[in-house]
Amino acid sequence: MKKFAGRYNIICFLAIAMLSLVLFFGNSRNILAAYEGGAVSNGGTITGTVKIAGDAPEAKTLKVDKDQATCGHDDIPSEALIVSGDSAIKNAVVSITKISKGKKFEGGTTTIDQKGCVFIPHVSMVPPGSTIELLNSDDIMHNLHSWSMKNTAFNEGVTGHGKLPKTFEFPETIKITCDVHKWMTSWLIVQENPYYAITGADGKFKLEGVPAGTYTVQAWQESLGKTTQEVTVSAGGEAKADFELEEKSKKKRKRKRK
Amino acid sequence: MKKEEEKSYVGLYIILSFILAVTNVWALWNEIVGKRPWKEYQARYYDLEYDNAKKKYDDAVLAFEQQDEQDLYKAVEQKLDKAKNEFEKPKIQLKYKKILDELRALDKNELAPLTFESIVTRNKMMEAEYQYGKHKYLHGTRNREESKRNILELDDKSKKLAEKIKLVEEKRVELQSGLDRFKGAITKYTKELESHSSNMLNYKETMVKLESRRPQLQVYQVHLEELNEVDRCMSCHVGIDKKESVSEEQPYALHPRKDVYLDNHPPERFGCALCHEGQARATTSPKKAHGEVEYWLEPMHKGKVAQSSCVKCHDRGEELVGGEEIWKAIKLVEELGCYGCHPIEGFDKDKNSMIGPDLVEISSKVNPAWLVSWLQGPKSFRSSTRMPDFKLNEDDAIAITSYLWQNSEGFEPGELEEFDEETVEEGAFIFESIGCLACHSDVEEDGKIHGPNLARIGEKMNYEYLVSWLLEPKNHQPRTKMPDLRLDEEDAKYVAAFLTSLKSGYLEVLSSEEFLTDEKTAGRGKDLVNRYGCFGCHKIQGMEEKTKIGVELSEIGSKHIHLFDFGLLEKELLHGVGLESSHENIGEARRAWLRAKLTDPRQFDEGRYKRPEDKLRMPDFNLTKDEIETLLVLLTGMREGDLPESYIAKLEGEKRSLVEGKRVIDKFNCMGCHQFSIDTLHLKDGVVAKGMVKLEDEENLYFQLWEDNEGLGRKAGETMQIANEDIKSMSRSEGGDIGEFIIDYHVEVEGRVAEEAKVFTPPVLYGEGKKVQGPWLFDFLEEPVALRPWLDVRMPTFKMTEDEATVLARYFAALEKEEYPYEYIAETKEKYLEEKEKEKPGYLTMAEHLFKSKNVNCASCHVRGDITPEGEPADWAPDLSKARDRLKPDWIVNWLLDPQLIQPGTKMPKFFREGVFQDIFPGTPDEQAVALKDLLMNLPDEMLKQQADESESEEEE
Repeated sequence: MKKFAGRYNIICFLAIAMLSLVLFFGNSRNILAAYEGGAVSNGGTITGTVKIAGDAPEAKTLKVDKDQATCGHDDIPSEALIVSGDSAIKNAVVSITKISKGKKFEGGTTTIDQKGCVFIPHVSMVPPGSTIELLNSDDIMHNLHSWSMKNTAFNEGVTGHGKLPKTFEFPETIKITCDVHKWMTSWLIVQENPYYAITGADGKFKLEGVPAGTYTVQAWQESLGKTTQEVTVSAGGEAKADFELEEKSKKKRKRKRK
Repeated sequence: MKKEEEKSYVGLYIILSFILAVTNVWALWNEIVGKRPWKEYQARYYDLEYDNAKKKYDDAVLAFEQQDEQDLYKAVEQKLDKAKNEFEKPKIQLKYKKILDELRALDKNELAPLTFESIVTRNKMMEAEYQYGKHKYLHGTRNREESKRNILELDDKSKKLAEKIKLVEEKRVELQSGLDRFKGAITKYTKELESHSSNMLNYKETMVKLESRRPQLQVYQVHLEELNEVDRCMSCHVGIDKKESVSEEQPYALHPRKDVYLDNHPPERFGCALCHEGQARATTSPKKAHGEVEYWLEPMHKGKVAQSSCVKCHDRGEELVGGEEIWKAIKLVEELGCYGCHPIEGFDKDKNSMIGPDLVEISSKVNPAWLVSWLQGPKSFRSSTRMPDFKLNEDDAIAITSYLWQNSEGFEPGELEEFDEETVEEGAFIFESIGCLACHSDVEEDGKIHGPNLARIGEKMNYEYLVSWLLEPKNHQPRTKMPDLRLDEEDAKYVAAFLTSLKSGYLEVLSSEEFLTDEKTAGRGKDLVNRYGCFGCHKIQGMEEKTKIGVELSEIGSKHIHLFDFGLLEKELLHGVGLESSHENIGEARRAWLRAKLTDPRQFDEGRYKRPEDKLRMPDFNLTKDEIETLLVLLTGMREGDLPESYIAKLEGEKRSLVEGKRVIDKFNCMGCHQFSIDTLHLKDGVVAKGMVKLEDEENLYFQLWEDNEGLGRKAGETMQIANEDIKSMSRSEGGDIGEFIIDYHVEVEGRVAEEAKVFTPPVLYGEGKKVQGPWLFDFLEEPVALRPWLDVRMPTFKMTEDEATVLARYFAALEKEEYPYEYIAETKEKYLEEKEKEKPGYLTMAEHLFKSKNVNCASCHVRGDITPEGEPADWAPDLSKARDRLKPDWIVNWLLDPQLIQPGTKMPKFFREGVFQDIFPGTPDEQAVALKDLLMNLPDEMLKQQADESESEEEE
């Protein structure tokens, strides 16, 4: 009896310690309290395709007007919007916007490279608090400029074949550019939870291990913005969600050529 | 008839004696009580003070009597008893006594004799020193030698004694601490007990003090010697400068904002009446003391009106803490241009400015139909205009228009042109991108008032005049604030086309334009222009020499009340402020008149017969009630008489630089484009953080620090999440209003993220004084040049006076406590480089290698002299050949070490991290940055000129 009570005390103590630890971190950093990863049994799946509404716009190219010895003399195809023959969009990010509990968050992009004056990959994803290596595989200087709002922004020159490790604390969508070569753009999404997918050329995505429930699923693309829809997932079931993103009509103001 | 001797006057005597007695009693009472009402106030104040203390005491007693508190108290009491009992035990007592005896013995047998001897020695020494001095004059050297020896001996002895005493005292301390140890617990608990009851006891003590040592009732008087004034206000207002308030009620209340008013103006030097006026010497009744009696010229200023006195001593250009009302009033007078008609001392000093536009070119500038309509009610065309309403009818308006038309020069306006959509769009693009939006707005009233609202400008202006105006505004209006945006003719035409397209269908077409050339109509117009004094604010051909038509206002606050013509409204207006006659309270009566004048300037004509030329002429400014009250504060303060020099708060040094600079900044609306300061966060835990808010959401804000912050343990440049609930207050950055339009454009049209679009806004001028050299800034202000190739918005040429440019350059220096105007820059001197080369041979060449290294490659983005980088001009960075004369060396070093700390978001990357570029320029990042700075301050000519082998790159179109 006495022995049991002793063990009970220890469990109690541990539980309280854990709780206070969680509360402490929860209070000091709201983001850590936002998502809790664990085992998900009999999770469901969300699949679908992201397409563009209406006609596919013409593919654009970017002019290389600098450092042509390294960057090449030819125009570079723009990755700002890549649409396949059947209107499928590449590099759209599909994610569940608000989910507090689910599968363990692992993985994410580990490096972003600058090679031939192009960011590879164009869109990448990391969990909050992770460190990513920003590389420069070219023989010239690139600068890495993050236009972040929540995470401390940086703008540093990276020597040829050098690297720059950076840690991202808060979830947000960050544009990263190289200002020396203005056509170079990359997107880093610091994702709150592991339920995300970056579409391939076929525009298809798959979110796995989703606990049963109803969620807001968002599709975002750098040029088209975002759209959301409610999706209900049953235990072990497969839910379908197709997205259509519309091209925003831009204010027209042209710049006079001199 | 009785005989005289038989008559009795007893009755009469009794009555008279009685009257005499009563009179005496009354006289006595009146002398002691009746004429000394302050006695009652004073007594009441002391009562209140006592009551207050008593209440606090009662509260403390109540708190003490709470069960919890009592339990605690009793527990400590028990502990104390126990400790006392312990101490009383015979065994302890025995030990204690023993030590005590030792101590006493020590005191008696050792310390006392030693101390005595030491005193004796000291006395002897003093005597010896006296003797020495005496011998010098009276006796020979032998005696002096002897007494010198004597002194030295005594000195020696006293030193030895001091050492002995020190030893004994050390021993004594040891014994004493032994004793204390026995009593330690008792002392501790006694103290703890006291801490529970100390509050109560303190209040009790205060209470007793207030009761027993209540000051005698007396007149408190301040004598202001230099002014020869006596101020007795504090005889009734006893508590005015006390630390604590005992009542909110007058005359017992504490002064509001005591920290600003009384602490900066101690009553013993300023008294009360210097600001509040009134009859401070009077003590017989509050009304008399407040000067609210017949014929008293300066009745008391109450509440905000007291601010009217600020300008007695303070410069009108200075924005004072606690002088908010009068500052607003001064700004309002400047904005309305009251001094156009009314001479007012201290205003109208800026000769490089105008109230209304010159009308000498009016016929080529505007559409006559517009002018006729405008004159009949300017505010219905543009509600934010400063032009007041002269209540003219159509005939009058036509006559004035005719006169102005016939007295103006210029070109014939061309036929009304229509422009195609593309031209208008192009004009709109230029209008929005080069910076017009900093001062003007092309949508109906949006609160922007620095420049006229342009939403209907197409109905007013002629296209050709606009083109010419845009090209060089000062050509047409030499004193205009409108700067030259250095447009070329093509751009000016586009913008003018856009502006002429801004119409709202407001105007009716004139039935006939014959009146424009009719001389008779013009003659009538001339009379009207003379009558209303249009030339006070506008330059009109042939009327340049006319003087202001309004009454001088410089001493309006002292103007005799009988000089104000109330017309038939006297009773009504005076009743409105609770007066029967104007003499009852001259100040209030004067303000009542001024209030009525500002509300409806011509109402005093009501119901009276007046010949047309005698009628009141002042136009209606459409002022709000608040604006009028604000103006009354200033008008009340404009009075005759000067204070002695020593009271005048002179505006000097740094403060003067800042005040004058701010004035020029406001004049040219620099803040319309440039951000001048940063956000300051005050957190609840007392930490103050300086930086910029980057993002706000429901629970948090993301704040980028611009300065290291010890309290938060974060460095400059870092962005941190701060919970909204932790924030006490925030003061936002000032300026940069145009930024949002520019950001909006680059986000909407170019699809950039907002943060990225900030690059295209005008530069932030926070810390500018640390950045640029004074002489360069002066030159730049006089004649701006494009520095940032990527900006569409451009710094206009203000054509400011040399004085204005100097004042601005000095302002930025003063803000950062930098030297101005001369500053020694060592880097540009030969000796500096010689020494550097001696220290590190090949110094500048190595720096050049660093500059050219492929991994720094400054020239990849920066222009340098003739040499331009690859790519489009919009992607280039500033010309490095300008650095030598423009930038301060220290700033360049800090900039190179971490550009993001100085201008968050800049495209300039950070290069120098620990351990990099060692093969090119070995050293720390600091040393590398210094070397680059030295190179920039001494860029060799060959680095600035296109060389034959480098000029292969193709010229872009």
